[in-house]
Amino acid sequence: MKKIILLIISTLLQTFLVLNAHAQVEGVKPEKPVKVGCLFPLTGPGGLYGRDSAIAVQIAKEQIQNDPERAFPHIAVKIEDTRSKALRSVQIAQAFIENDKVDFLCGVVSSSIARAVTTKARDHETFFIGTDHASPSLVTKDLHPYYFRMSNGTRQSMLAGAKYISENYTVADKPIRIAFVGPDYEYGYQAWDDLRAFLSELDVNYEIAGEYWPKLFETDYTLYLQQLLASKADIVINGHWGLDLVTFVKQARQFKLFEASQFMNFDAGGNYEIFAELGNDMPLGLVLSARHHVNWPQTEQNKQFVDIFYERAGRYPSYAAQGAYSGIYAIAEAVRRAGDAKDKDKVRQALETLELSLPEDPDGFLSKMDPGTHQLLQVQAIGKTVFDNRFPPATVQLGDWHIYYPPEEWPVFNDE
Amino acid sequence: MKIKPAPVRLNLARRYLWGALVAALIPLAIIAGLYDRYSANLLNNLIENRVETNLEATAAKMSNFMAVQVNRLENIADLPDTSAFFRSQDHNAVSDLLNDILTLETESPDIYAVELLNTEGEILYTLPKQRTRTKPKEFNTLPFVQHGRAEVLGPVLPDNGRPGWFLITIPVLSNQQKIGSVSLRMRLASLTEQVASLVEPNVFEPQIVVFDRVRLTPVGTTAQTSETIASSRQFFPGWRIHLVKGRNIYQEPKTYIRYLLLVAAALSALGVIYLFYQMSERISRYLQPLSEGARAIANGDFSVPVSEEAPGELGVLARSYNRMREQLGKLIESRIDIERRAALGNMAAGIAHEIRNPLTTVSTTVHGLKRGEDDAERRNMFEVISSEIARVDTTIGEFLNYARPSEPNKDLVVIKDVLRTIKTLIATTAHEKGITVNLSGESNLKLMIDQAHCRQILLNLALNAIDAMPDGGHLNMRAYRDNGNAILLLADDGCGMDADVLAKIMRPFFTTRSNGSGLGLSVTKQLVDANGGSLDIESEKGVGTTVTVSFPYTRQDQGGAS
Repeated sequence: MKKIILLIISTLLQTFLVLNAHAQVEGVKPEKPVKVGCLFPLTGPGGLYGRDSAIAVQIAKEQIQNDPERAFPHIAVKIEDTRSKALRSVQIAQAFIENDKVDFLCGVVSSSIARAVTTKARDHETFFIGTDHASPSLVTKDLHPYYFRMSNGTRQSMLAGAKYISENYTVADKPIRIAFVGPDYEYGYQAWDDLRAFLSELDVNYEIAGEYWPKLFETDYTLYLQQLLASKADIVINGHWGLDLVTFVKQARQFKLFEASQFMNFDAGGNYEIFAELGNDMPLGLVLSARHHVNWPQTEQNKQFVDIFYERAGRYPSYAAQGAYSGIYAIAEAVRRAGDAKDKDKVRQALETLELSLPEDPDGFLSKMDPGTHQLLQVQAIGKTVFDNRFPPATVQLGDWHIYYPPEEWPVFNDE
Repeated sequence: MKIKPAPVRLNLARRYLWGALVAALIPLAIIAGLYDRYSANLLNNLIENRVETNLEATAAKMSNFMAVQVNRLENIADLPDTSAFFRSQDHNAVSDLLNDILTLETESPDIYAVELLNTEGEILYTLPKQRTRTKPKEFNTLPFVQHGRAEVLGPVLPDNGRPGWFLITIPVLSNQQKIGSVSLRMRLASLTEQVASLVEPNVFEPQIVVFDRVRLTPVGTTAQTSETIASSRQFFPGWRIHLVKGRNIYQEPKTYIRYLLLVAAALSALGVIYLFYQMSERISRYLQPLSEGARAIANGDFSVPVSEEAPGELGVLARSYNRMREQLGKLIESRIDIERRAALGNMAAGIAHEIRNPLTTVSTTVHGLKRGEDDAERRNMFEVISSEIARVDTTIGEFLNYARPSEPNKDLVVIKDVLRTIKTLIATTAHEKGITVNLSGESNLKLMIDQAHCRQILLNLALNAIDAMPDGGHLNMRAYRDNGNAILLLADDGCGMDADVLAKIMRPFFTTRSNGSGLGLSVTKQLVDANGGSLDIESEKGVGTTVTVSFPYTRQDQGGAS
């Protein structure tokens, strides 16, 4: 029943957004609107991320159009449901480029889909503004002049995570036993590669207790939990996100994994969606982080973003919302500074030197684009789960924060 | 008489109980042993049956998984666009249709990539492009098998933060000629995860074994070599499932239950032994005195009583034994007395005839001689002879009284009068010895008794008391009623007697005095008995003696008095 209601809401929302986008693409304002084609999963696995992103896109659009101080261009957004399928996503991107003649592609939750879409963007010299996927491959191996990412990648979260372990768990007399479990695709591989690289860089004395790669969208982690428990790790690094993480945590509780090892997830574990889904099943004392938090930073901008989203959606935003919001703002700001969306060099230049004040920025900090990698440099906040029922239905939020500012330049390893 | 302790050996109760114990323990041991074997076999059989069934089912599932992948490959290899790709010299000329089909295939989480290879095995095209691979380090030593059209290379084990994989390849044919091949780079864990249903934590673990040299866990990582319990058929040439012992605790549940049962059986046996031991001790505790008492009676001692606290029939037995002992003692005592009296009666008749009659003649003659004698000294000598003859006659009289007591001639007697008479009779002697005589009690107590007997009883007892107080003392004589009896009590604070003397005091001819006949108390007892009373003596050496004479007292006695 719940699924059916969600499907109906999602269909209505898509219809509304598509109609709205078409209306704007057709041009109500005299100047040519900037055409943006967004790819989000609105149904199926990761559907919530897409639905949150769609609402955030709408909020960003309205704020941009109603901003009296800056003369932002008119933005026309079209959103399509990828259903987390690679071929479908590539075909949608193709259609956006060829049929809708979009100036920007944006969105994409899954890194493996993003890698397929970014190839299409490169081939067609169309800007692709990544808003939610996090694999470093997109800003290293796959990087091309038309790709920019507006959310923290796993490299930033793993750098922060390695620092956190180094500061809090270094033991002099014996190596820390670290096991990794993450989804079996690029996102998981990169996260684990980066964490190990940063741990070595920080001279953390550790040994690998095990590496496990369950399928993306796995529903039964029993085998992996048995292996994790047998590995007797001090720390279990988890690379799951979305419902995979929810399922994993529920099953890990049954196996008492959280009593056996310190559980950490630096990239997506602290996402509001996880807390809302798990409710009272969310254990306390887990070390988690995410690209955006509803209760950090305690700035007026973040509070406003969370409140507006809540008024609009009737729920609090997952981090995907802030990513999509940032993506649309970045496009508007870049085009405003370039003066013309069709002048790709100027747009690229504007994006490469972009500085934006976003909801997840603490006071005194601006998100800043790294011109070398096209990766937005942002702050990563790691916390521990504590009881906090201010954002129902979640009963747990992060607290006991450790804040990690980004390096001046995005770290790139030699083999990339 | 002192009873000798019984020799240490198993009595009947103990033998029966230990016999019963052995009879109970042997079946218990047999049942425990059989159950242990049965449960051990049952568990083994269960494991074997379950393992065999599951192993075969899982092997079939894995065969099917491989067949599905081969089928996927065949579908790709048989596409005209695939053949066209290999015939073309441009190795990027993948048609949109083929590209879309390959992309769709790679959306399966089981497939990492699809590779198109030339006849030399060189990769011409990989989809997704980002997953282009280089040759693994150990390429030349990787397991390789051919099954039908399909070739399987690998598994390539997880390394450096990347999961393991294996390659399934089939040739692409054109006019019966191989023009290239298509490979699926498969996720290794997708195959190994199929054994999930075989995992029995703490009992056994499945491993996927390839040519007995590569061992994989259910999550596709390298497995430790362990002892194999069971092995499946080959689900693909060279690939099998092995079941190995779990993490050192394969035997634990089975052994634990068996030990638990054996310990329970041993504890039950100990419990039964303890129970039987306690029962044996308890029954022996009651039977032992009975046995010793019986031996005492056999040895002529009727004075050994048995505790009557034993429960049930043993208590009844102990009470019956005591009653029997008392009755038997009295019977034998009475029989001895009768026989003694019969013997004495015959002797008394002889004495009366052979001694007393001639003695009367002697006495009469001496009396005649004395009367005719003028010499004062000789008269005095005749007096002495007469006196001694009289003393002999008195002694013979006492003896005859004992042997052939006279029947009592009962009449109402005022006890106060008798006591006063006795006091008067002994007054002189008592005074000489410094003895104070007190009378007390009911002044009007009357008894139906032979008066002469009564006087003799009290006189004998009073004289015995005076003899017991050579250095003076007190003699209290008291008459009173108690519980339907009239009591005549004589208490002195003389030398008293020890228990040994007290036990013999009633026997005829027993005396502690040099000039005593040993018949005084015997006669007294006899007189008391003849008048329906009883006599009881309590004495303590150095403290004194109390004699209690008790006669039944009835209203008739009182009525007679009034």
